Amino acid sequence: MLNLTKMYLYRILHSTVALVCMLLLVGLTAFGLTVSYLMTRMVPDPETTAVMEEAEEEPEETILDEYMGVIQNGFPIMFFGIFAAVFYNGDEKHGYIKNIVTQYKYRHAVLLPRLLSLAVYTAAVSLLNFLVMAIMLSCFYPGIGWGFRAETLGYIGLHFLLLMAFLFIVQFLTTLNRGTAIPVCFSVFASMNAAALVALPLNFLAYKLLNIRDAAIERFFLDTYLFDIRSAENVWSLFALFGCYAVGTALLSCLLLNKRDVR
Amino acid sequence: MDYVIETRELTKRYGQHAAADAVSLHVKRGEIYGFIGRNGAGKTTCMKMICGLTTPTSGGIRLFGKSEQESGPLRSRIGSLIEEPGLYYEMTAYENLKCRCLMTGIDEKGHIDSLLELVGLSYARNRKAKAFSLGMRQRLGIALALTGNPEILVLDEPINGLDPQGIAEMRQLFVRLKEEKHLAIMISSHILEELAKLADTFGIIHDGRLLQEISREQLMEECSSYAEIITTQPEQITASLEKMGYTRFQIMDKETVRVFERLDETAAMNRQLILDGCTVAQSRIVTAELEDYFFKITGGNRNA
Repeated sequence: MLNLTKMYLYRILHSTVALVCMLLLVGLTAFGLTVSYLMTRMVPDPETTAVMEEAEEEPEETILDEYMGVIQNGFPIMFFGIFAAVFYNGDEKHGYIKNIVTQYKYRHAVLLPRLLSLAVYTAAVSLLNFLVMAIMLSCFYPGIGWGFRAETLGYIGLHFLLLMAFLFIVQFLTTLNRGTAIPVCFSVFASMNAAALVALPLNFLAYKLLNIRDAAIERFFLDTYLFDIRSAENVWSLFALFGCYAVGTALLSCLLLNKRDVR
Repeated sequence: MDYVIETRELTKRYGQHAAADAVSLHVKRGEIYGFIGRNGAGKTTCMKMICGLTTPTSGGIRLFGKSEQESGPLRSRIGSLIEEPGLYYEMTAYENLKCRCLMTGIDEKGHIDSLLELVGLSYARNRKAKAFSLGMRQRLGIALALTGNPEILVLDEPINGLDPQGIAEMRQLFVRLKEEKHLAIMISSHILEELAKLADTFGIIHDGRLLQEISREQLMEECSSYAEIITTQPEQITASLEKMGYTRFQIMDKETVRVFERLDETAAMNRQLILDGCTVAQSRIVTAELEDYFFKITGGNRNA
């Protein structure tokens, strides 16, 4: 498993798509911060100035708070999802998977190393994103605090865990699709918080068919918490959600890989 | 017998169609096994099952003389090239091989470069696989199969896309690998004459069934030249041949007798047959080819 993880990391290091996704994500964060900074400096009308002054009286935002805001918008989900789909599909696309699975007793041996290497990539890009953000914020707002609080750090960790569960789903969809069309579409929809849209008719159906007034199906969707991690009832529910999605999709991926012929 | 691959009634069904039907083949250590069959005969399916790319519907595979249960993990000692080579097109030839080395835990310095040299791709070391021609991809696929010094090579149509010089080079490489490293090499091809130059044993598969496994010596015997005598008195001919000291002859039908030895003495044989009062309507030397033998066994014809 370690050898296969090393191989996948080597692949990521030599992948143009990995580089492009990283640059786009970091670039978009930097662009967003710059625009936001320029907006605050370029609006001269007194009304807005009054609002800003009022806002300045509120508790100060820290770098970590800003970072929480950045990871909870749709871009990381979209870029990591698209990269994961392309990365997983890279094995199948031109048949390199044939070289891999012939080396192992069980074909599903590829699943965990793929995810581990993606976790390393996601962590590295997130860290870079954070560093770029921290540098830019320090330049724009001298004296801004780091805001290292256990609670915030815990939420960032949990968000990362849910992102991994999301990548498990992408892996399953790529295996199922044997291509990138479905997982890429799924990533794009997920990045638009489509769960809320999906939950709406489901809640309605639950009410109409089962007379459940407050089904709140969205509680069971990863998307809900990827966009607002603090909305979780408690930490354990997030762990449970991660477990269900990760184990469920991993088992389905195993089943597909072992049952179907390798092409 | 020291078989490195032994299949037991290996069967793969897709619905009602049996792509491989109870195939029991045997590959010895240090031999080149030529797997012959038309397109769709079941060669690739069998090879895929041996390499673990397809799960058999029934039957089993034994590797290196181990039991079927113990053979699964031994697949890592097989290098394979099935259908088209599996490559990362965005990576260079070197990087593709490096990936394989990392995966198999090979950290031997110079291993990749020696492989590239072996298959004649040193000049394209840093070129991306997507820019390769079909023949170059095939060479890289063979290099990938050879990574980690496997003990068995399973190569499905490995000379596809190679130019005549490339085919000759690969032929030399396979023979060298067999002789120097004592590798067992299973090669499928529909270019029969090419396999005839290489293989020690031939497996003939047709419509999913393995029709025959035959050694090179046996095959050469089957394919060797013979004298064919057309006559109305085959018994009288054979009696006369026995009198002349011939032992290897056969009555094929009521009009044909074939003689498989002393073909350089055919003129004298004919003369003696006439002197013995036999009727010889026609006598000729026939040279059979592997292709003829294949068609005879599979019951097909050249245009099939």
